[in-house]
Amino acid sequence: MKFQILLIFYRNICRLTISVSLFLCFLFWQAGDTKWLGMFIWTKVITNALALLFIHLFSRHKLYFYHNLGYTTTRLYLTALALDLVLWIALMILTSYLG
Amino acid sequence: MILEFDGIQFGYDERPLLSGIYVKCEVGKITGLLGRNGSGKSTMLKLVFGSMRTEVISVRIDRKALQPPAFTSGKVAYLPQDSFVPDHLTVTQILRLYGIDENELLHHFPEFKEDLLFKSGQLSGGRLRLFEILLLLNSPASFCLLDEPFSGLTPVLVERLKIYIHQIKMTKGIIITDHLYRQVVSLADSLYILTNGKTYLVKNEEDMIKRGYLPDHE
Repeated sequence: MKFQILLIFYRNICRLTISVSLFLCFLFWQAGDTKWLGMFIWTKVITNALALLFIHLFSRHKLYFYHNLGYTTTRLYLTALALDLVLWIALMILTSYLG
Repeated sequence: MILEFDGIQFGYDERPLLSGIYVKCEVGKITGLLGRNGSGKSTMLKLVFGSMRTEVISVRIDRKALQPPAFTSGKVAYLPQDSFVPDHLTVTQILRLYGIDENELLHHFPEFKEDLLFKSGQLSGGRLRLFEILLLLNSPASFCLLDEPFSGLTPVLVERLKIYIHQIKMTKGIIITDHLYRQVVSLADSLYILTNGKTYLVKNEEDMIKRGYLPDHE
């Protein structure tokens, strides 16, 4: 149940963040090596921060749904970021096998 | 159980908004909170709930301090003025996430039977507001802070909701703030007015006039 609630929150940002992840995987596949990895990481950091900032500024009242279930804003944001990071790393590893 | 809060110090840009607060709410009773526009009612409830932070606040249940944010205790729920449920979840999904038996809801509000499989974003404004209020009133939290629950509801629904709140207060402590002050007054077992950053316990309309909440026509 707990993970389901965190997934529901993650859904708010996943369209943007997964799109960025797939795009970066495509660039990684095109480049064929890790020389752009630093730029990829910064792109992920910036787009994830923007996604959460958008929620924080424009959909803040929706956070009460999670607060009333006992979840803090920090916990929601950190879990969403961690989940997205794990997903991206997994996609990058898969991409590296495509070689 | 008794929820009390006091010692709040909060303001914007050096301008104090809240500074002399004391409110007490008991399970089995409804506490009304009135105040002029901009007096800080919503801010006060958010500070108590913990979604807004301040360095100086004391929130206690049965004299035991709740660590901020209070909502992590699971004992306090808050109804904000704006809709808060995710648009993409169905009514049934939301009820399950909050651990609420849908039959209990349907027993009192059978009109929701046709809405169970609808996404919350598909409900009308009034129906959604009613659903959100019922969601919190049926949640496991012992105390519900309701910020303008009657806004957007038709008079018929307001009356039905008042009857329901009156029933459910047996197991909950409820704080209500709303600009439909007659509805609040008719429900409340105790009534506070928030003015100039301080709360005052009031007993009748004369007190409300004295505190500047109601106009003095004499």
